[in-house]
Amino acid sequence: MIRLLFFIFFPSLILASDMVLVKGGNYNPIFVKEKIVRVANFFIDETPVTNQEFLSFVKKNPQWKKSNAKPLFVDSNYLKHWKSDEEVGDKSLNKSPVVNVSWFSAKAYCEWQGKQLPTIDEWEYLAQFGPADNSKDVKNLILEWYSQETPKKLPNVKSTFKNKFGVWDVHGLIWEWNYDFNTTFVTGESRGDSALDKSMFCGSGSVGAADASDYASFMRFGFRSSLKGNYTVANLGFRCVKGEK
Amino acid sequence: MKNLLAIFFLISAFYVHAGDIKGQEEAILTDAPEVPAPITRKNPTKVIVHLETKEVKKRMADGVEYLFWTFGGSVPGKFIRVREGDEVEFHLQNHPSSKMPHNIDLHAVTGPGGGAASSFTAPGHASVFSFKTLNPGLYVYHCATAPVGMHIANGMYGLILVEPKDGLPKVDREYYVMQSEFYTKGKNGQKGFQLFSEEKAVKEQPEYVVFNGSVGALAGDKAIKAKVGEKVRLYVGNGGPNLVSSFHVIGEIFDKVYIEGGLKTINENVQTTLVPPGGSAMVEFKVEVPGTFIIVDHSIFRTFNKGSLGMLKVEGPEDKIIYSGKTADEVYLPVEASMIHKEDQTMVSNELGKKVFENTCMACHQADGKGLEDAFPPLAKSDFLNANKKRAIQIVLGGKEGKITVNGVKWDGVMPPQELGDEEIAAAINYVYSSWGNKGYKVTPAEVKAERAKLKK
Amino acid sequence: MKVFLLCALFFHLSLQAKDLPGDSLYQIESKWSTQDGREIELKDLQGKPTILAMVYFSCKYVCPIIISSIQNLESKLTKKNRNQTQVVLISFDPEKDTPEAMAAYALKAKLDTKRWILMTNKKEDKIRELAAALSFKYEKKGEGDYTHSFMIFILDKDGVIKAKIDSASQDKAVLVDALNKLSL
Repeated sequence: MIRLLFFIFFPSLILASDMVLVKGGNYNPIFVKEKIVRVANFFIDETPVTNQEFLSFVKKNPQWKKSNAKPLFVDSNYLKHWKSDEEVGDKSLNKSPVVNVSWFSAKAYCEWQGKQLPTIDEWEYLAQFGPADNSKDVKNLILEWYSQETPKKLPNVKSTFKNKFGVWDVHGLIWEWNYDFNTTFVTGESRGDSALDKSMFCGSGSVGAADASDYASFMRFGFRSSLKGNYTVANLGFRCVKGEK
Repeated sequence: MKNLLAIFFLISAFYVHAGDIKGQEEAILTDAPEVPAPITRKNPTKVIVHLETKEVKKRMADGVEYLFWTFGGSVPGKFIRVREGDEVEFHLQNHPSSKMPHNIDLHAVTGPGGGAASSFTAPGHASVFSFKTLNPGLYVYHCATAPVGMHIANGMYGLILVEPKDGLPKVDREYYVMQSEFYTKGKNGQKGFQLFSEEKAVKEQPEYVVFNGSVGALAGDKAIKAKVGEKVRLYVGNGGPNLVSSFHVIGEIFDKVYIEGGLKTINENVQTTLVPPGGSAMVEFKVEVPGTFIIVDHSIFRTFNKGSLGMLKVEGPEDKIIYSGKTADEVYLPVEASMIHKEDQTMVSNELGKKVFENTCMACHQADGKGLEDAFPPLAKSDFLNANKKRAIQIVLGGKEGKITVNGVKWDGVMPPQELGDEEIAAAINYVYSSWGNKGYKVTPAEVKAERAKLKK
Repeated sequence: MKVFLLCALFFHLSLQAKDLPGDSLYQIESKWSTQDGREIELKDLQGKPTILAMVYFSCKYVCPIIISSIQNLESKLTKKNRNQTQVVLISFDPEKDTPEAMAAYALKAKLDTKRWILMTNKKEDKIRELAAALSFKYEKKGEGDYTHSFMIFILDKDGVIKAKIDSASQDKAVLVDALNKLSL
């Protein structure tokens, strides 16, 4: 009954992916030594947003069509793998994660659904969990993905693994946008990153990684820091979250 | 006086003129082992470099594939050649198919991070920054995106040569050789697609140590070439990430080594030079004789077990004085009497025979030839031995297993083949036949040789 | 008559807001609270060259340097150009930087409130959007402290970024040049 009401108020949710509940807990952020962050419970999309799902968003929000979207919000590669404004084109891509989307467009999609992009804390907390059946160590899984080429066609969602909360493809399919992606103070001059460059950033403390050997997590921070809000990348997509309340 | 002044102004104008940046050009970049042609212009210019970072699946060794992270599509990255005083406009382009952001630290750059902070680039994007080449020399460049070790370990390094104002001395051949290691989960040679092993990288235990990015990249039909009499210069880099190279060309001596890629300290007549990771060296040598010269890291197990083996093939006329090749092939027997070498088809001295018997046969058949009960058959007055001379030779050469009867006694043992030359066997058998009441047959080295040939078939 | 005037005003305003260039910052739609209690849209800033920075007013270290850098920058302009330029300081700490707090700060720092606008947004995600459009990084640490970039921007009349510095050690001349060009 509540679900029905939900769908009446948020018709967009009918087409959206299901959400699952992630039980919160503690995690140790890689860039802050000896600090424990407590993440509250949250709902998250079971899978990344697919091309088909993003298409229904674009149809209802024409300002996000390929030909309409403004350079402030998307770069010139926005949805370049789509045939046209309102056609994905290749049907086999319908259920694969939408990529070539910017932070602004991803954020707009989530807001259209009454949701938001996951924060880095929420994502990093979730990133700790590997396959529910413990078939593989999560770090190895990630490092393997880094060692492989990006396939020309991305496989469908639900093609990698499901974690204990029922969330699919947290690793091994695509990179994903975070709400506060622009809080990572890795400058690109990574040799100097262990001490905050005070001429570039105001703030106390060092940003040395707590575990410098955790390459798997390191890479995510490195990748995030190279991004700008209007960037689109061929292997970067997203999904949405909602608080428990 | 006026003339002098005029000349002075002319000359100074020339120098000022020569120091100004003139025009611009697109840099020509090459893949190892080739290098761009030497620079001929006499003044600095604006050089535009476009370098693409790309993650490419390629051969590491036969049957072994790896996902290399590259500058320009190969390991090592493109060779960049500029001149002291140039202003370089550097475009770092990260291919859209890349998974990782990349950047570049050029050791030739004077500035924060060597360019790293200004070139941090997400996949599908490009960064532009400029620098002036203040110092001449041969410099390494590499990716410096965190974690730096992994980016370098996957192949992100190359060389940039900043020629001094007056250029380098002319040589006939120039080549680009860069050593590096790879750390794979599977062992060296394990077939299939290999993944990066962080553990082995931290332990500094590579599975592959190679020149120019893969096993055999500089070998066989991919060897670098020269002609007899030519002066060869190698621009040698070491991408690491961990190991120092002991760079050596077998059969050659480096006439000149520009130590550590700098221009001031030039050593001469060097056999092996050190090239540190993140460092370089230039070596020059004149090739005097033809042949295949093996390029190695003299930490030798890396060469023969991990792949750091390259080849320089030199063609041209031989010079027997410098190197003659093999002129003789001799037998060397460290036994006293046989120092007197006799290619003699006839009898061999009894003395030799006795010596060989005492050194080799006596242990089992005993000094009096009587053998050992239940262990070794007798040779003294042996009906088995005296019945067949040829068989005796065959047994010494090839050994014997199985049942025999000697003087009515059954034997079932094993005699191993004897590792002796034709002369020694003939001498020993003669000694036996002429002792202890045996029949006195004579055996020649030629007969032994003939039986040996039959055995080999 | 009043209605007619009102309609004309709305019409005029909406005309002004039309046709923002595709890379104009002012395309981000939201209500921002200023130090004098107004609620404005970013497109209301259209019409003048702008010096813009993101700060927070309880910041003890770098933000005062940013602000004094801007004042220094202004002093390098001709009087005419200065009068045509507006300065916009956007706070990413809406909790502490209420309109009253911002007004108090402006007073204390002796800012020319005729041309300096201090503002913030009750919706954190709109601040996040603006920061993303500026490639400005900020993160809340404990106890009301923030880690953030050091950046100063020059925007043209339509809110397009014409120049910026992203480090305290950079030469501010590039900003002065850009402003002079815009005031021509």
